Amino acid sequence: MKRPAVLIAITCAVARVAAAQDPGPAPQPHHISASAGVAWLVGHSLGGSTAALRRNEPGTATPGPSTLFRADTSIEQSAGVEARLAYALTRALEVEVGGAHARPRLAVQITQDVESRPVALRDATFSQYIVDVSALWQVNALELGSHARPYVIAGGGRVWQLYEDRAKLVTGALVQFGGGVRYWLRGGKSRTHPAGVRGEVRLQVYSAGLDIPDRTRIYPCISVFGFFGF
Amino acid sequence: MRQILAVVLTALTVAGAPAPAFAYLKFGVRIGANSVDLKWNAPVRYFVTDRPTADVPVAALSAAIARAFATWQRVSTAMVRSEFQGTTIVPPGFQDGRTTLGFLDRPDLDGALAATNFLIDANTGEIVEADVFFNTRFSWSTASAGEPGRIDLESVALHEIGHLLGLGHSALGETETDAGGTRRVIGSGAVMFPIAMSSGSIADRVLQPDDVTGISELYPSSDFLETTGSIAGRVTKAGRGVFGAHIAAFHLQTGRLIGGFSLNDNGEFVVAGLEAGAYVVRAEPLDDVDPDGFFTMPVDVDFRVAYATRLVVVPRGGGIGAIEIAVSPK
Repeated sequence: MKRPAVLIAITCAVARVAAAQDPGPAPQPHHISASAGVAWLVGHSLGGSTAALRRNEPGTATPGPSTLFRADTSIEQSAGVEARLAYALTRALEVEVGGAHARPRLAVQITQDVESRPVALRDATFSQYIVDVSALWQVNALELGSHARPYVIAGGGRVWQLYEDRAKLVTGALVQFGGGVRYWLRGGKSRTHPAGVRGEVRLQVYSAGLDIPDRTRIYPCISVFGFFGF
Repeated sequence: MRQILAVVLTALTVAGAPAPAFAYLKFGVRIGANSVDLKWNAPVRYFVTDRPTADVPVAALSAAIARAFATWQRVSTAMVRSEFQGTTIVPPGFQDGRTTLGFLDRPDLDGALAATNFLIDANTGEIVEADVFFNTRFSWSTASAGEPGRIDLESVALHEIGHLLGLGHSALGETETDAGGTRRVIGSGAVMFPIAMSSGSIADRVLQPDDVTGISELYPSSDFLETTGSIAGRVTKAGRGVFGAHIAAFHLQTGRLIGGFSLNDNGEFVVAGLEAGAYVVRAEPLDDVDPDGFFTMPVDVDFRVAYATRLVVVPRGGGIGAIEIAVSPK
């Protein structure tokens, strides 16, 4: 009489372990997946700078400034395209190589010119190319239903900013970090080629990128991708 | 026999004084059908007159001139060299084949602090000698912090040695004119601005980006021309070119201001020696200085300040052309 009870108990125990180890959707280790989508760059100010002469101020070799005019520059919000290629090291960790292209518009306002009214220069477009290498960590412990999992991403890369006629504005460095959610429309738990969508928000820290007082800045970037596993 | 051409090129003036001068960013001389930049092809070997003033002994004069030469020589993107040859009893302006700097009493030029003149070989355009006088009609100072009521000798020497090296005047500056017609500097963006700051000022001991660009374009270091670019364009009024408009190119990231001019009736200008980057380009009439101090032909000053309608991005080692700045009459 004892044996059936033991057998049932063992069966239940195995079922609980199986439920706890249900892997949910995740990348297949040692497989490659590709993502492509659109990225939205949030508009932001690049700062301002003052064209200044030296004030006629006897007694010092470094007199204060006398303003000729001031220029305030901003980047308007814009959409771009982005593609990423990922290699899964484990079911949680992937290494991604990404490339992005956008064509933001620069706007410049001229003020404080005593000889001229405020002037808005015509918007000018520049091309921005980013290549980055990032690590993507899927947080499998956080379940968002049976098809979705959140992840965090961090990495770094290079930025090339070219003006309309391909003249180089600046080459800079980029560090980015953020997070998002992947939703599997297919696969993710089996060897079937997985496919789905992913959305993420990243903060991109540019150094030596286009900025008016030359400094490091943080820009938000929102992306939506479709992905496909091989 | 060498043909000699004597040219009084320029003077640094004080408030209200007419400048017996003409200039552009660089001096040029016409040799036959060609225009040749006026520049030294060897180190500037110079003498200093042994005439002191009541305020400035010869040793202090010589030291101030040496500091001014050294300031130009320290420009890392230019190849300027000079050699002090000693003192001389011969005053500046005496045609002896020697480049001489020193004090001279010029009551006829009581508005000119100092001036530079050249002797040029009319066949080759080579500089035979160049002399600089500092007018003893003014009270001079060599005090390290300057002295109220006195003109800083080193500042004026730096300006005049700029001429001696071949630079003309810069128009990067703003002035105001009082009821008596006297101009006073409000702000200056170049040591080579033709009107001196107020007495007691020592600001012009420090070269500004416009000065550095000018000397670097004239005596470029090995990589200067490869690493800098230029902006070319036209200033127009009602579709016609404007001669003598002052152009200021402002680098948005570094804040450096570099000047230039439209130099023909088509209103064409080139501002060269610019580091790569995004620029705001501004055109203004040449009305903060005496235009006769810059050009021998009449200059159009009847227009309002205007800007190039877009940012201008200068590539490294290249040029951006066809920038048009349309101005309107005042």
